[in-house]
Amino acid sequence: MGNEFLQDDEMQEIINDFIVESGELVENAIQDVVEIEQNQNEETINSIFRAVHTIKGTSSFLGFSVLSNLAHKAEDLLGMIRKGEIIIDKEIADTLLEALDMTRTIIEEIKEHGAEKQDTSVILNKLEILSKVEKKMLGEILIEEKIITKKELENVLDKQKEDKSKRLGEIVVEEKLITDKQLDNILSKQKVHKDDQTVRIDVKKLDELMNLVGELVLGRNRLIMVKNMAKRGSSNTKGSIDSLEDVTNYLEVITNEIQLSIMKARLVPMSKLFNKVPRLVRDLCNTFTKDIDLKITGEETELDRSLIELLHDPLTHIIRNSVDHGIETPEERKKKGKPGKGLLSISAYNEGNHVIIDIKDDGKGINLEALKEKVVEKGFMNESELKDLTEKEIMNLVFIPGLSTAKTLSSVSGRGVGMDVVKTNIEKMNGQAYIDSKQGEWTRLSIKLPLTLAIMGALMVEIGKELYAIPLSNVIELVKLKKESIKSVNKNEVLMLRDTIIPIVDVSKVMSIGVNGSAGGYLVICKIGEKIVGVKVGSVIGQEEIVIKPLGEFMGNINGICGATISGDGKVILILDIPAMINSSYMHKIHKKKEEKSEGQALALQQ
Amino acid sequence: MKTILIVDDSPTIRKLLTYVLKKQDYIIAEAEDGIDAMEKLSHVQADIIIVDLNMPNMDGIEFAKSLRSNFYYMDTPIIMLTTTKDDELKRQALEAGVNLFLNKPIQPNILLYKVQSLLMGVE
Repeated sequence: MGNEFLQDDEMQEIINDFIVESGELVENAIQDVVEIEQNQNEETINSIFRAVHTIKGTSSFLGFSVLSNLAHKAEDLLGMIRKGEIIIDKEIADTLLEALDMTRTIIEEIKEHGAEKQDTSVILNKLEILSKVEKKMLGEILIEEKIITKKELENVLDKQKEDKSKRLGEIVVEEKLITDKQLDNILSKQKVHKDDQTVRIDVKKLDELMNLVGELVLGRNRLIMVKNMAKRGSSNTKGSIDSLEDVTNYLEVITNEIQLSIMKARLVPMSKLFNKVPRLVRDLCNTFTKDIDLKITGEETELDRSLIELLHDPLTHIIRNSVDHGIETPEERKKKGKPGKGLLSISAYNEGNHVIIDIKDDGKGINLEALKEKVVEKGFMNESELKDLTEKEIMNLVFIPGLSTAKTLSSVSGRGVGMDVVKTNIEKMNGQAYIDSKQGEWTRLSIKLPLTLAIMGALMVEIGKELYAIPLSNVIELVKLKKESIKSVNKNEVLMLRDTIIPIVDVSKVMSIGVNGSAGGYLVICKIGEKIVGVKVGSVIGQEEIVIKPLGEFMGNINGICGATISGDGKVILILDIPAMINSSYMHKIHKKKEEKSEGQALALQQ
Repeated sequence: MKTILIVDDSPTIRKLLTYVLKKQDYIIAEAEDGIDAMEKLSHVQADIIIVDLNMPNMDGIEFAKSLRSNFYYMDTPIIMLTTTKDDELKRQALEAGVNLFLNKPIQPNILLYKVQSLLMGVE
């Protein structure tokens, strides 16, 4: 419409918008088509229909007639699918995908050359043939597939005549000619969409950012001025140092604010994730014949969007576990005197700079005895070691990798299928996971996540003349280390700190730096979930906000290092991966134990 | 100055209409579907509403119906601007209280003219 009417730049802006919008719509529609090929879901079909419809409308407005014509034909076919006149089969899905691919190509062309050049006649033909020939086919297809007989179809058609508002498909289901199972299939297979890669930001947030960036530019100008002042004449050194201090303060404030605003812009409400839970629980209930009430709270809690995406799998896993192994069948529950309906509550809330997600079920809880047995049987710990653990610590043993692979555990204790995977996933996000339970009554799994991934507080330490960063979220305290306070247990160094035995990790050994831990120094006490370790460091530099940079593919998998950051003077500083350290020290211990074949050796202090 | 509320789920269309209508010094408000529009109307006084038919959450016909049952918007002019050429839908839309049923694409000056004449009718 109206190329003459609008100014060129306005038109160009609109066309750019159109390219972005349509591109997104096509991508989504392609995913949706793949999905409905497996299961015809009305909502999904509607969303494809709307996408194509929108493209058709917009492109006709902008005068892209080839595109609008293509969308028009695709819409016709989709309209018939929507009305239930056609059932999607491979051919239709293929054609739709082809049409959508073509749409995408045309959009690309508009982007590159500003005009459409594709020849769409082939695909237009295909679309037309499909929407013409198969018009009255639903009944026939049903017969072909041997789902209903001819007689039944006739009956149904008669019924349709009586009540014209009903679609054929509806009646067939009502008459139970198509089973519930087929319907269930549709529901259970519902696929999770990948989110679109664009972020929509509130204009207000963007304006705020723009303001801050403006301030930043002013700061830069001031900095340049100070530099020039200092360069020109050193007559007033004190003056220029003062103004330099001014500028740095000013810049500090602004960067802090920018950091905060950017972080906020990346936050999305948890509802994005939680919205999928009711369906999941419903399907799981069907699969495992459970009866469960779901309670979700705190879906407005916001979290970094990349975290939300990463959280999907662990959360699904945890919920699956709760429904499958946690909550008992209605009969069992009644026997135990519990209400027949189980309760699964999921809540999210903020705690300082963290988001906590609790998943609690009122099922049978963790069977501590069975868990202990398994741990001993698998050789992760011996009985006497277990004696020294608190109940909570024992419960959190379900996270030990390798323990959970045993299927018997899940049937005995009712827990622990792949829990280590959950934990690793959460720890990858710099988060923590712990479990708490009361046998026979409830189990609660808590996930603690930082608000954002990219920036975190860190403790800068020096180990053997190298600087390292330890994520501050893991650190609970700092202890000045005296040589005589280090004890040895089973040839491992430990520290007694207020009645707790803290195993010591010597980073220089883990990293093979080869520096003998100099006397003195500090011990950074870190806590991950229920596990505590002390990391031996030479000296502590201070606390800093660091930006995490991934190490890159060729050295991304170094055990004990989770990334790097760049210090003020341009040096690369490695970030210690405390969870991995704990695991490796832990595994080291187990390994050693197996070598020694120590039987029932008491975990006593060898003074 | 008159305020026009544009309800369409496509941001491109909204922008396009905004540019066209701004040529005539109208104040423009935008909403992406019926529900959103109802919300906007709770704090924006619109003199005329341009609405799409096919939208998620609440479509144009539903929206028109709920407007007509609202005391404040009982006779605010509604233009339905849609790609649909379906006569049945057109009938339903007009029945729901839509004043004018227009098809996309529409010539800018025709749209401006229609908007203007509907606004005159109110005065």
